[in-house]
Amino acid sequence: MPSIEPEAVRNEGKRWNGGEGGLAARMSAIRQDTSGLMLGLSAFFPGGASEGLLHSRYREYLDQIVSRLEGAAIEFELIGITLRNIANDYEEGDRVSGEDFRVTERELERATDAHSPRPAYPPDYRRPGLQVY
Amino acid sequence: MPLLNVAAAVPGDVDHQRLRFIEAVDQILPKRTEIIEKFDELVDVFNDHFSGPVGWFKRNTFSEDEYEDGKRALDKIRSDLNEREFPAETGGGSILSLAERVVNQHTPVVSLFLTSMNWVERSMNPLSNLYADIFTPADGRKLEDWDDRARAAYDDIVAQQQRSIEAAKDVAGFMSSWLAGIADENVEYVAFLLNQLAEIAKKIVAAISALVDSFGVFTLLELAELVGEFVGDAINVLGATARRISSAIETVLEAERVLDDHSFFPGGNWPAAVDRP
Repeated sequence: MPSIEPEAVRNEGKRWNGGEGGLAARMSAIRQDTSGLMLGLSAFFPGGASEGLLHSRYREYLDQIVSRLEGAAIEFELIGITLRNIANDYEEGDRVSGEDFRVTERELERATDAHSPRPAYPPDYRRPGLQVY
Repeated sequence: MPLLNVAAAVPGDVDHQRLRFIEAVDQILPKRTEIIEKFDELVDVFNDHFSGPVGWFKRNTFSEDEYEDGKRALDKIRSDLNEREFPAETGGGSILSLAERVVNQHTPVVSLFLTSMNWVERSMNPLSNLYADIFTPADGRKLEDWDDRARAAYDDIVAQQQRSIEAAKDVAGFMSSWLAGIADENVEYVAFLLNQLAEIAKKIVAAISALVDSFGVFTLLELAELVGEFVGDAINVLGATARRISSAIETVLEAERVLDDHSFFPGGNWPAAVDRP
């Protein structure tokens, strides 16, 4: 019976992560490009009465799609993390099952941080030494 | 077939429409100006005919009715061009004010065409590539030996993620097509407006020529009727187009069917692939 190669599982994990060319990185780039597809209020019709409704509905759907794509990038990162953990478990001779596809709080935070859009200025921008008045 | 039964926009076609839109808008202002100038010229021709001692005599004797009918015809043309109100959906106002508004406010509409193309090129196509790549393992042959229950769970996760990528790809295609549909209506709108303005200008020029050759009030009466018909057609057609653009709000609701489908996006979110703490 052929044995499982942990390195192959680890490499499969790398395929999912946010490194260059990784599926999470690609999804993050798609999310960013899609979020740039905003339209101005008067883009739907030159001077008509209905642009406001069309614009708000468009914006609503765009936000929903972008939010789902952001979730996808995070999920892909988490798949990469769990595959790496599973590869480690195989290496250590541990039994592995479908229930091992789980992450810790810290891993979840790390993946979320990596693929959530950041504000233009970090919240601690006005910390001592960097205060701008 | 996409989940929303709507094929994505074809960027080449959208770009062609963008050029048609710009080309039509570029000609609207010159035609509007031509109408105003030629109408003034027409009024001059009419006034010249009835000015001076001979004109005064004609105006007050055998041509009095002709003078009054001519004046009424010119007033009707002026009123059709300058006062006859367009439907609220078009933004209201006369054909001349509508033309001016279209020219002044057309620039943001160009982004509608570009954004439709970008939905295909920046969102749908990359999602489509991702969909194709998601099942291509990094270490294909070596990974074949991974065949325990964890592997079965992994395959289920990948399949679920792939289904959601497909749904997102189809929504992106739908958005491109939805915007392209509105863009097409805008092209028809400006093209029809330009056509009506061009016809009106042409008829006024022809009337001036006819009046200079041989003055006859029937030329003005006929012109007034034609201008009234062109403006009336513009009111009907442009009003209907503007209403169709407004009603696009209903067709976009289709996207909700997929965005709210729990099998693709449970609870409105991307499906969780792994268990959380």
